[in-house]
Amino acid sequence: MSTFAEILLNGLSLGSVYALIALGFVVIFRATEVVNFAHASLLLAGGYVTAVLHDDIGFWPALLAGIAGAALVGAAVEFLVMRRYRGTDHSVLAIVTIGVDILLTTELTRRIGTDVLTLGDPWGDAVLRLGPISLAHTRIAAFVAAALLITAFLLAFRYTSWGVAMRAAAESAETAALMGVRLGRVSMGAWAVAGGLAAVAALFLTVFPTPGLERATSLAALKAFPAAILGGLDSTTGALVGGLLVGVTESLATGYQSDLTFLGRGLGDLAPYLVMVAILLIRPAGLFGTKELARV
Amino acid sequence: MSGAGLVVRDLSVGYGPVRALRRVSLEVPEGAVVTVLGANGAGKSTLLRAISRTLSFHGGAVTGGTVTLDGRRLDRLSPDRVVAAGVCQVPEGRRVFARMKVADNLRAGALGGSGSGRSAALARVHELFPVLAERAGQRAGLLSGGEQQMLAVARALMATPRVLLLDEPSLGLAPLMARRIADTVREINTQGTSVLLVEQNAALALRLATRAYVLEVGEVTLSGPAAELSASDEVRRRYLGVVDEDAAADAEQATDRTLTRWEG
Repeated sequence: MSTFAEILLNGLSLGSVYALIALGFVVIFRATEVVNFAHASLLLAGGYVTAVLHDDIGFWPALLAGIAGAALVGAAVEFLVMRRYRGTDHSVLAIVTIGVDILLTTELTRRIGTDVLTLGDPWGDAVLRLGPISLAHTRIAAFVAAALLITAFLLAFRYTSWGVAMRAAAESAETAALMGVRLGRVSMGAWAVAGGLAAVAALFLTVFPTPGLERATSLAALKAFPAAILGGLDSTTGALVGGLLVGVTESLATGYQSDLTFLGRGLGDLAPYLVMVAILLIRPAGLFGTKELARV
Repeated sequence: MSGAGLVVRDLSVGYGPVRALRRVSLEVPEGAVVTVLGANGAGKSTLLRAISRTLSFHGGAVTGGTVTLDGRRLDRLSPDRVVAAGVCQVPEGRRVFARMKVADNLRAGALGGSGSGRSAALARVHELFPVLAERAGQRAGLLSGGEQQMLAVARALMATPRVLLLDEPSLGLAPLMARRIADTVREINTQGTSVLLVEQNAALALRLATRAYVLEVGEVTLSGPAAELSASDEVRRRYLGVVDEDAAADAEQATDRTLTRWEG
């Protein structure tokens, strides 16, 4: 039972990090209706900035720089690339993001090389013991940080003018434009916010027990993709639930790997996708996604 | 044409190779209600899209002509700047933000305004449409058709526009509700907002407007004071559904004829 509780708590923590990434997917999708395949490279960019700066300026300023850096990269991608294609079919735009991802990831992996970069976090490998349950400080920090950020985001989404503009643009870009909403600013803001959230997620994907930031970190970020899809790509609630579901599923599959050897190795990596497929078979729009309705 | 108010001059619009408007000119003087009549596909909505600069959402573009407000060119501005300049459109089919609450719809409408005077604008729309204050916390998609139209108009008024563009406000509404919307448009105009009204319901539009234009296949074919257009045989037959033999006589009797026929 203690093992189960430990796995569950670790899964929730991991899931909250996935939720941060999935929220980025959803924010961009809602603001622009584009599925952003370049999200993993934004995450890698944020993590990389934090990793190279923390020795010189300290962890917290480096983390802020990483968040700002990823936000800037996101805003720049929107301004320099996506904006030029506005009005183009959304599938084409999604493919453009794949191109952006290839460019960014290639440059970042060239810089990272074969190194494993640490981000200089203050939690190290410290572990909190609650009776029979052991929980890494990094996991607790991840959960708390994700919860705070997600709460702040949702409050801003609901109560600020930025949030109203984004929700209006998500419902109907043309009507929002008729009301004076600056769609370019909304779209750029969405990319920047998604970049910033991804940078925070980069930190918690690379701290203990993970050795650090490496080329493959962007692959870990892709696990948030099934989280966003199964939650419903246009639902912030869906991103949270989807993230937690993927985190817990992955944690359980990895934790009980030894009991599931008949299914082969690497079940933890596969499980999120299996859950996504199972949910989409029952609810094609995802758990909280908007069903597409057509008047006939 | 003078430069006061909203002036559209020789406006041409195309959707790719299709020409939707050809050299359309009209004027909405300060404080006036002007209507544009026409059948489906005449180019009425295209005209409003061209003024509010949202043609690009439909693959269209202005190919010639100008749109000015008090002499200031609007036809090179982005949609948000057109709203900031004082021209706001209520789109056809209401298009309220259905998943958002009524209060948030009104907040969205205020985003295009100057920022100052939001509470005054809110007080004004609540006075015009008390039901929106009662339903502030309700999702807009759950309102009735008439209430949604009220919300659409109120949302546009939140930007405190000088010129309100209304695209088919009576579409799909029961006659009683359409009359109520018409009364509200009159009230809005009395409070100082000019109105450019695009309508298929010609009877309603001609009652509200001081001047009217008839659009046919992208061209202005008839224009003049609304009262005279109402009496015109052609308008009565084609847009008001009047087929009696007196129609022609009425038109002949209309004194001081100032209707102008387009000579293109």
